[in-house]
Amino acid sequence: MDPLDQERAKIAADAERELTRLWRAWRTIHEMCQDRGYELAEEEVRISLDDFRDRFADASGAPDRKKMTTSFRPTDVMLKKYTPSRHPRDTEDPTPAIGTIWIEFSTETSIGIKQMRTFAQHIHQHNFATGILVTQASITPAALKIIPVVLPQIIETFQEQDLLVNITHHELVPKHVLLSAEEKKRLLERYRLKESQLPRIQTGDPVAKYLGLRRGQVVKIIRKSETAGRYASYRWAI
Amino acid sequence: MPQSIPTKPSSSITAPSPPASRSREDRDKETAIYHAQLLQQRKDAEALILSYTETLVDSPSSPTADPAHPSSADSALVKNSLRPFQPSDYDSLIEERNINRQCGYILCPKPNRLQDTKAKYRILNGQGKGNDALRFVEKQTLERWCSDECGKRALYIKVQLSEEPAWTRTATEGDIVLLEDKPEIQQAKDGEVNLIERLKTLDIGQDEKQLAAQMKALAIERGDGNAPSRSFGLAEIDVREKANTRGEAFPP
Repeated sequence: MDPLDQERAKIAADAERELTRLWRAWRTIHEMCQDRGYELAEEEVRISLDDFRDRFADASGAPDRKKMTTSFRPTDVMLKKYTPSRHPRDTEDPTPAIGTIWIEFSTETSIGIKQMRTFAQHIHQHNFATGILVTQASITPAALKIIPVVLPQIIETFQEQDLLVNITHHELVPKHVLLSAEEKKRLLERYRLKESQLPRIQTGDPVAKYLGLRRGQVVKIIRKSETAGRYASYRWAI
Repeated sequence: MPQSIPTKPSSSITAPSPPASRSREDRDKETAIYHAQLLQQRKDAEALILSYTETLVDSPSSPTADPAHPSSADSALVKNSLRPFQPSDYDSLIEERNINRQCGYILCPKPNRLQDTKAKYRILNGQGKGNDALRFVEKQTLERWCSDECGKRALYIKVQLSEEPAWTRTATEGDIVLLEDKPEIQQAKDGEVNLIERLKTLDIGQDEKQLAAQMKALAIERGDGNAPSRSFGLAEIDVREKANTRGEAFPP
């Protein structure tokens, strides 16, 4: 093979590897949205590598991140789960604290304040409730400070390399289920607890990030137990 | 948009005093409010720094500005807005500018110089002899500036920033001085091998001074009063020979 051909083969192999990486991240993020309770078709989640290539590869076979954007609406079940319980004082029904989610793969190699502002503006303009930005490299600390500024709109960030495998599919990761406000109230009544008496889970915990837990929510963690079959514990997100 | 730096609690917030007659509830509430206000001040200061960072990422105002002769408006902006910064905030500002492919020095509109290598270090020819003949420099630090001059200017600003966070500072410090305002340093550097080295020693001197002041404060807090540097035990020990009453001693 002459050197030019070798070079070309190397570039093609790199593009293929990049495409496979992004395909896996794309699938994980879809599984994540499905697990959270957004409306997704099964074939959207189980997209094959070939379909992915058809949709997102450019002429040279490398993935085109610009095209990798999508958005989902929450299902009715999810809307109900995120609706705060009605206070006797309230005259009308409370609105659910969840809405359409926007997912975007960043084309930039490094994310600073400017890139983050652009993303926040996009979320704001289109009135999305949540925005997920998938980045190629870590975000600068200064840019992360923008996230709390745009509340109540939520920005979540993930790195591509963290999405290559779906961590919740690992056998050592127990099942985490988010409780609704109603379920949380019943749990606390049943055990006569204050929420601060529950064990805790950090919102930065990988599974908590996967489920997009917010401060104050409670997750039920279902583990396998040799003696009891199944064992449930509850954790309060902080 | 120069804003004043948040002042010390003393003006608006008063520390909870220990009154005798008020109920426990009142006291608890007062303490809670006091701490909440401290936190709020801290948040305000951080928000201020973030907004200044966003402004300074895009400075200077004109793309043809010369970093050696900054316009008066630009240098006033820099002097005003950098005051609440800590050195770490300043570093992240430089990082932000580099992400936008700009020289890290805030008054320089040029792009930073990119190294056409993926290696982590570069070997540069120094001006000195022996150990100084070659310098091993991280690629990342090289890519921070457009030129060595800008690096010096930027580091000169950095050593003037206070390590203390803006929300705990007592008084406003003096103005930030640009390297261009100090021609004597600029002239001195011609004879020097490396100004950056000198700036580093300058920084250490400040640290020592700060340390001495802190040790003094600590000593006062511990109640050592005016003798903070007493280094040996508290009891006064005086070793003395026993008086010899039996005359000279002989072996039996």
